Amino acid sequence: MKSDFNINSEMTVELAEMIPGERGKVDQILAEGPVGRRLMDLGLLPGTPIRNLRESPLGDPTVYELRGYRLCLRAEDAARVLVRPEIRFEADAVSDDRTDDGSIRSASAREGKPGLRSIPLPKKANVNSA
Amino acid sequence: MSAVSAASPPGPVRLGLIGSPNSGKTTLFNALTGLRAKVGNYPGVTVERREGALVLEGRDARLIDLPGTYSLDPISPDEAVVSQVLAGEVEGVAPPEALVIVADACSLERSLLLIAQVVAEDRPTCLVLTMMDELAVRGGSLDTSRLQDALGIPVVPVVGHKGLGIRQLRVLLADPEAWSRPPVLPPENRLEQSAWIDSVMSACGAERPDVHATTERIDRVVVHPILGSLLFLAVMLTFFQLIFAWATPAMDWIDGAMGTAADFARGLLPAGLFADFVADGLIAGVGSVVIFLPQIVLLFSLLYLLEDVGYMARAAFVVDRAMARIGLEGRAFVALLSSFACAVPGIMATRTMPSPRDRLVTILVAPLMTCSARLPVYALLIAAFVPQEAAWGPFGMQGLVLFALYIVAPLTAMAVAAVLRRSLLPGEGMPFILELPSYRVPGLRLWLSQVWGSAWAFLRRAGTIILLASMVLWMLLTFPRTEPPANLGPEQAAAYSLERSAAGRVGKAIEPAIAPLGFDWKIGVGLLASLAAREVFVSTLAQVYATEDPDASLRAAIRADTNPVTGEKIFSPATVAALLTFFVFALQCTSTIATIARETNSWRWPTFAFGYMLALAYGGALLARHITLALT
Ligand SMILES: Nc1nc2c(ncn2[C@@H]2O[C@H](COP(=O)(O)OP(=O)(O)OP(=O)(O)O)[C@@H](O)[C@H]2O)c(=O)[nH]1
Ligand SMILES: [Mg+2]
Repeated sequence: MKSDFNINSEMTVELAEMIPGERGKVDQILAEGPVGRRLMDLGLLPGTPIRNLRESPLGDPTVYELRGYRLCLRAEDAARVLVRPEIRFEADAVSDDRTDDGSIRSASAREGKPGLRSIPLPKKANVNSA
Repeated sequence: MSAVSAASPPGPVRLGLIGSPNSGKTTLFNALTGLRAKVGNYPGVTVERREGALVLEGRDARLIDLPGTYSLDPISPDEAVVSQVLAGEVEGVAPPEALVIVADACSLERSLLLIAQVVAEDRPTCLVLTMMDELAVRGGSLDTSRLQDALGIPVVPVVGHKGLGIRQLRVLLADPEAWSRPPVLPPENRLEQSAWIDSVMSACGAERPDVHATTERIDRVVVHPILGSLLFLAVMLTFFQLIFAWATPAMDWIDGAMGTAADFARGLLPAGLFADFVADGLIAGVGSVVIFLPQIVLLFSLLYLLEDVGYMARAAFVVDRAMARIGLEGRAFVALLSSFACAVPGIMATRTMPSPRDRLVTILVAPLMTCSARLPVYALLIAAFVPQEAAWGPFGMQGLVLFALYIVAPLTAMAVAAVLRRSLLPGEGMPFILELPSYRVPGLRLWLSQVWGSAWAFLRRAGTIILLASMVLWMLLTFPRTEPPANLGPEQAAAYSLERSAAGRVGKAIEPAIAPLGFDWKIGVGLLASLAAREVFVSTLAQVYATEDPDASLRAAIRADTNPVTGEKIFSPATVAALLTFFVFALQCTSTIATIARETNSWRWPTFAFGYMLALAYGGALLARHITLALT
């Protein structure tokens, strides 16, 4: 019972734009040649669930969790992977990724852009899919 | 391909261990062969092929431990070792006849990509799943017999460091000819592989593990900008305090024992040249280095603890940004960290770096890191010249000085790396990839055996290189013999003969070159001798001073020594500062030079490293001397 309701948005963003706590699914590897091959060897294949765990104290690199392990990538490399972020409504919030007003922070919210991924929720939202 | 035919080949069957970094290959290798290859909780510990003999159910076998790799399509020198060994491209090394894939059960989903490649090699293959304990802790599960059916190859679950499952594994490994082969090979196309992985995972009823909760909790502190740095500083400061506070009693004890041994030898042997050789040459020389065993043991205890717990990869993760600024990557930092033990494994560790240029830069600065061979020199000079009572707040001055010496080196290494990186050819970029392992409680046995291994290596060095250097130096310090004029007292007479010995003459000859640093000919002899290995500096001084006065301890002797002409102390604060600085920078180590030559395949780079470090050492020492003179 990890999440109650989630939608995978149609929009893709660069992996580097995901914020700590945010989850998504790999959509596409933009890098070609040996770099692209290596990223795929590391398990970054289309459809792979991935989560931004935390950033390094200096902001870069970032640790991601995927396929049961922690992978650390620099922003320049993570920019070469497109992901489909998950919009997530959680009843029992783990809430690393939730701001005080109950909305869900997202990369676009961080950059001040109003976007599909920043959805304000009523204070005691309990959205259940069932 | 070299499929094994029904008739088993003569000679031991060759089994290769293949798997991602940090999956537990070397732990298995050790468990199966009884050897003690290096294990550590970070990806990239093993960077070379290593073979071990074993008997499986009465059958001779050879197990080949290999570096970790994510793919058979290599991007770094350590990964290339795997594909070369598999293809039989290494001269004189037969390729393995059967392959043992080692995969961390928690990240099986990723490892299946490698498994798909290895199975396609068309050799008998089996799969060992390690970390089954961690999979359970993380709330994951999988059915190994269903996995075996899904893959078509034998699967054995183990907990490598506890030895669970090793018996079953031995039985399986004894008969690779009987291993089942997959009826159809996994797809080669990456996208199809993704679907194949999903089908395998669901076929074996795999429950995906959560993130390791303890690791998350610890990381919240350790990787925290403020808490993390404070914690790091506190650990380091405490450690350097302990090096003096804890080690001194043990050192005094060894010192006393060496004195007794020398007296005992003198009592046993008829007085004369041979007794001098044993007492002043061998026992004083080797003993002066062996004294530092307690410090070495403390240093390695900490290094291995950090490594086994899983801190090394975090250190790389935290400093990567700073490293990026000078054009290197976090992995270079791990190599530099291991150079705190010794530059040789540090240089070897650069094999995990994909970019040849970054690797070269790291190799060239690795010898600047404060290796354990510098510790005896630092400890001798600090113990002799920094008062034990002096303190700064709660911290003893001796520990603080040592701490300062330890951090000057990496800072310089960064600066040099930044310069080299800009002046060497720009290279192509490969992504910086680093796996952060879970924190693990290190096994006490493993930890102790690693510390013991390093302590033993230190003692062996004392018994070989340093013993040999002591013997040679004793001869050079004793011959040719010159009879001193009769009117001299015993001490002056000894000094007179010493100055006219072969080593004395060489020391005198180079004295003008080192005089600007405040060094006299005795220090000169020590510096020349230390080109073999840094600790030889200590053993040489011990011999020089033992010849002059056999009864004083080396610490007391260098404290008291005065210039016969000016009457000033030889080891003035300025000289000590210059000497310490010289040792921070100079490349006085034949094994490091040889390793650089081997890893870069040329004599150009070791020459370059020696040259720039000598320039830094001389310049730095001169500066340190003048600053100290100005301050005092
Ligand atoms: N919990 C647990 N830890 C293990 C197990 N097997 C190995 N380890 C630990 O995992 C870490 C890595 O083990 P190694 O044997 O050095 O791994 P490796 O595959 O040789 O690693 P590289 O040489 O870096 O590729 C060490 O800290 C081991 O003690 C296991 O079955 N369970
Ligand atoms: Mg290994």
